[in-house]
Amino acid sequence: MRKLTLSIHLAVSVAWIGAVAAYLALDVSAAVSQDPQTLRTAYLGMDLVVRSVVVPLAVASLITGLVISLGTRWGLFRHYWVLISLLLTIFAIAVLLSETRTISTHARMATDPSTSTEQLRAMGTTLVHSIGGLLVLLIILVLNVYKPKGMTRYGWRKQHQRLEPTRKAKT
Amino acid sequence: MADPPSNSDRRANDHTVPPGMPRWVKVMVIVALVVIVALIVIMALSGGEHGPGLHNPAG
Repeated sequence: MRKLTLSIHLAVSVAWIGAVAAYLALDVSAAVSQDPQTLRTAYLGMDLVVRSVVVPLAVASLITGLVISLGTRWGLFRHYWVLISLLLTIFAIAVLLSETRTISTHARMATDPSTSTEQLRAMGTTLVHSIGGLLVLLIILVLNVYKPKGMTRYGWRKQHQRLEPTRKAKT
Repeated sequence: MADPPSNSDRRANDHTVPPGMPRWVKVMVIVALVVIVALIVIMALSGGEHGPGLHNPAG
């Protein structure tokens, strides 16, 4: 069961990064293109990718990450790399959910035939958030692969409580 | 003459002292603070607006 959860967690987490990369491609085309048809398509695609792929994968990554952490010796608050990964994931999801409103607004305007080419060109992009989000996800990935050493005070206390009977028995 | 053990070595060997925050965590915290301050400054210089309204031509 643990390996199955880990496999799902790895799949959805890596897929989350891939989906953000795909979103970024659309975001860049919305930023650089002056063609109204390309802009409309890009904004619609961004909305579709975010709502149908990025958000579900992000939530699945958080849930499976919590299950793995709580079900193994790593715990959730015992090691700095786990704790920081959790905080960064929550931060990324919070920004993502907030950005989803902007992206939906852009898509609504893009589908509206009364939106002029000038308005389409002036809508802007979410490049700062998508590049920032991708960087945060890559930091989380590196932390999860390298698992740098460092136990929190809480983790140290828990380990101390677990090892204390063994130590006393030896002495 | 051997070097005296560092604080981290003493902590690692002493089972009664909780470990300190690792250097890589301190570096990450400092970098995060710098990024947050930079974003606040950029937002303040760009008029203090943030969120969906910033991207919309109407608002």
